[in-house]
Amino acid sequence: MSATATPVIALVGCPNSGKTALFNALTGSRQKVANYPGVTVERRAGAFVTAAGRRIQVLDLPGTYSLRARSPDEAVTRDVVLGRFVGEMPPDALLVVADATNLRLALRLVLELKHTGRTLILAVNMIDIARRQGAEIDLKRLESELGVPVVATVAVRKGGIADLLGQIDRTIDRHAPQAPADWHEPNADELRATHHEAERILKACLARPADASVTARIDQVLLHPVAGILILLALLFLIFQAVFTWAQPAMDLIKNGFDALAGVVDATLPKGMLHSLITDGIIAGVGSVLVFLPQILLLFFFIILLEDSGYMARAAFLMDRIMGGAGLHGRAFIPLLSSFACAIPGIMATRVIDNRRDRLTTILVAPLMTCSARIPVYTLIISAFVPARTVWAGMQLQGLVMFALYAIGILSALTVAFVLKRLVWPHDADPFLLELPGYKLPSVQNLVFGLWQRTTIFLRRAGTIIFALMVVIWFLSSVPGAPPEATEPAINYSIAGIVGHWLAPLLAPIGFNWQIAIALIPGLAAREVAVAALGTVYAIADQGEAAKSALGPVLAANWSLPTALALLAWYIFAPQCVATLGVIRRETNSWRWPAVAFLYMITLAYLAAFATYHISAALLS
Amino acid sequence: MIQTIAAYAIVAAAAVWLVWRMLLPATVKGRLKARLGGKSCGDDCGCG
Repeated sequence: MSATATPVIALVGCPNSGKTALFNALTGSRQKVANYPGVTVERRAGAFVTAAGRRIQVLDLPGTYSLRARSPDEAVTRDVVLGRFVGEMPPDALLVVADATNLRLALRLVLELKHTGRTLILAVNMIDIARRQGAEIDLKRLESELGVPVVATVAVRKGGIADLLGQIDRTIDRHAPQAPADWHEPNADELRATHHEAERILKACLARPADASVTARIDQVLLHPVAGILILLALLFLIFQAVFTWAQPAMDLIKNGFDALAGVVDATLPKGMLHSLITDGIIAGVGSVLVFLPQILLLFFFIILLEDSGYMARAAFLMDRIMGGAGLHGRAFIPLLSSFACAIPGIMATRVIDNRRDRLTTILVAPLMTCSARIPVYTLIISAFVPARTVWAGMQLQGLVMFALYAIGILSALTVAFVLKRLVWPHDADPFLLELPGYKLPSVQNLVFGLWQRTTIFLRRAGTIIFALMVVIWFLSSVPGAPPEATEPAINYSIAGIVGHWLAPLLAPIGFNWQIAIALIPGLAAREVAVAALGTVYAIADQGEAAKSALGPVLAANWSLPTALALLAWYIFAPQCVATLGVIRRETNSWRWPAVAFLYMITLAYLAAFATYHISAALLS
Repeated sequence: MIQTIAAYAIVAAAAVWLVWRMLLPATVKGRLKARLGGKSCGDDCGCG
């Protein structure tokens, strides 16, 4: 047993074995989610009390089929299990979670784990589904064949938890010295021998093989090359609609809440630097990111439902045929879809992709999808420069331009992914191996815990990194203040103003004037902030929608059409969002990838704006 | 004047925090934490 007073148990199991459901059933709300040091693999830890009143610490390790780690997640599991993970206490016992409907994979894992010398307990989970499918598992025989205590559980309904706690008490109380570890990376012969042994035990303990006919019948439809794709597209359409429309009332509520908060500060604090920092910097800046929380929650609601029901693996399989052509992983469709709302949840959702290179590719292209924050910029410029007329079959020209901007974003993301996978990482073609789990009803408890965890992660980020970044951007846009004899808006005298004037010659070849150059700097906080910044630079006194309607004619009078089109092209590619870059830094645990994203996006933005400006100027002359 | 001092203090705190959280390598943070008598569990562990 470890030197600590509280014994540590680690949950180990294949993906989709119900490990997290069992973890939730054991720990309830007593859990903490963080990252393992140095990697972006989630560390879930919690505690529970056994029937004998013993407090036990429990770690939910990333899912794995074997200790032969092939991804950062699996490496964490291997190292923790073997007691090699620096800063993590070696577990006193391993609780192996097996999917009763797919026992073969779990048996191979148990046989391998026996070589680690750790005390093992096997939880045969989802036993209810296996029984419904007609499978009879002889648990006593399984226990004697494996030499490991076996408990049947139904984690989502807390079934078998009392038995499991009793077994943990007995196992921990035994104080049995752990067997010497003789695990090593198995060779092909050893793997074959383990496989044969697992087959033998399975035949001995499983009275009737699990009848997978229900799953097979559903899969005939859901994996059909035509019907399956149509059903998936319908589902994606529903998710897309939900993220955009169902979230709107809650988003309005949050926005109104922040407006009210700004009103309270206005009423209580006299005008001054602190007033400006709180209202223009913190409330407006953090509010512009927090407003996406309902969209993020709805998105993760669907992701958890799809994962829990077993459909996500099928969707990834179907999408892999389509996205694989561009070098993207099948599972990348959810992160990319969510990036239409905001790249931040999209990048956070890339955790569903196991392969690091596939995940990095998705992270790097996610900001190219047209996020909600681009919409105010697009609508402002389109309404000011594109005539509201019908062009063909009732289609509006303005709507067509907006559609083209979305389409260019998608095509660019696919092209960049193609280039990355085919030219930058050509030798990293990982075979797409996917286990299709049986279908099951999603657990409400898992859903609630999952959403709660996403909320706390997002709020922690908004309250820390995003908060700090907004404060710094406010400082750049406000300090030093305008001199007393100033005639121009205060932002022109700020650091952002000085840098904007300095950048203006660099941006002149793409048709941007100094006002645009200045607006781009506070616009780094979030893309839509550039609209307010343009209003400030052009000294529009109105706020909100009034500012937008007042700003349009001013822009139309001051900019040429090529300049407006170049700015639209710029916004398709430009990394105008520090929060996104901050999240890339957090998710990749390195500055290299936000730097790569920033550089390639700003290069593409400049080239696209340059080409758009000069081609449109030539066509219009 | 008080507002300006308070605003600058918040900006300075945010800048220092950002440098600590996002720019300093884990090894430097570990050494600093050890010197200050605290525990070090590396970058990105969530303990701040």
